[in-house]
Amino acid sequence: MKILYYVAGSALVVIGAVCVRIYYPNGSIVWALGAIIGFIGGGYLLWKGISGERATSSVKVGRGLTADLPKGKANSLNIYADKDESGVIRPQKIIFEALPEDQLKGQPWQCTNDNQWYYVHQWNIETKQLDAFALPDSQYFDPAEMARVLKCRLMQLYLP
Amino acid sequence: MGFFSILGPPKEKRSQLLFRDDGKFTFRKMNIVKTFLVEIKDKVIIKGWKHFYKLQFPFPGHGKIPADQITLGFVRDVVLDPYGIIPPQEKPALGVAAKDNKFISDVAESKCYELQAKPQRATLLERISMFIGSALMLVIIGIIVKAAT
Repeated sequence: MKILYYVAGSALVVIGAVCVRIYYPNGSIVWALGAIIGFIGGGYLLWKGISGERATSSVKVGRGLTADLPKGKANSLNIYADKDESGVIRPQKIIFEALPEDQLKGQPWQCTNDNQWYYVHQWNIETKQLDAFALPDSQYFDPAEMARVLKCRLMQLYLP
Repeated sequence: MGFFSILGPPKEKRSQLLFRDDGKFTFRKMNIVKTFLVEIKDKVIIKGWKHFYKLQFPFPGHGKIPADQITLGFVRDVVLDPYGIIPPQEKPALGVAAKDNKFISDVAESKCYELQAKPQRATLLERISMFIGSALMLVIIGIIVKAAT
């Protein structure tokens, strides 16, 4: 598909250049308009081809680590971590992906940034597959309480 | 140093993926204050989440959400570590009261040292005295200049 954008864009730019060449000795406004439309249309198609290519390629997310951007409409947000050579678990990536319907697990979550709904998965290191993401029920410390510690209010409550 | 260095050092920011209780999640940029990602309202810190470098996930961006290193967050808790990457001794102890929690008391203690290290600000009375003294000096200088001419 992107090759069509390149061909059509390049053709329009060439047509624009031809119109400019004819316009100079001739001076007709029609050729000037043809040149403007050719350059703008060609530039737009070329830009669309390039940006489309960027959207479907992989991007670097860390040292020696790439992530494939979704080719279709993303339907899931996936959290990946894995063990390195020494057996230590390291975060790998968080990425939006377009998964087949039969691989979607759990309930969809709403992303407030774009108001779309996504299934959230977490990579299971043992089974090497995506599981439904679940929040823990255990609570270490309330973030609002932490803010009071950071503001240094009622400090004596937090000191031994 | 650039021109904008006169405005002070830039605020350090990192992205957080915050999960809420109502089944929603948000990608957002947060200020880092004393190793915590903080939510600020009207210049006051209202919530804080611990920022661990070991818990940063690379994120390549999506739509209008920019690429960044992402820390997971949860509205109920200061730490969200679904893979158990952080050792338990680096997290607040579970089911322990705030004053007996070493993680919390360490933060409070470092905050106390920071306040002690800050230079003392002049009190209101000292400022009034300085103002009156400066005004008197100006008057005396004015009188001397007038007498000399």
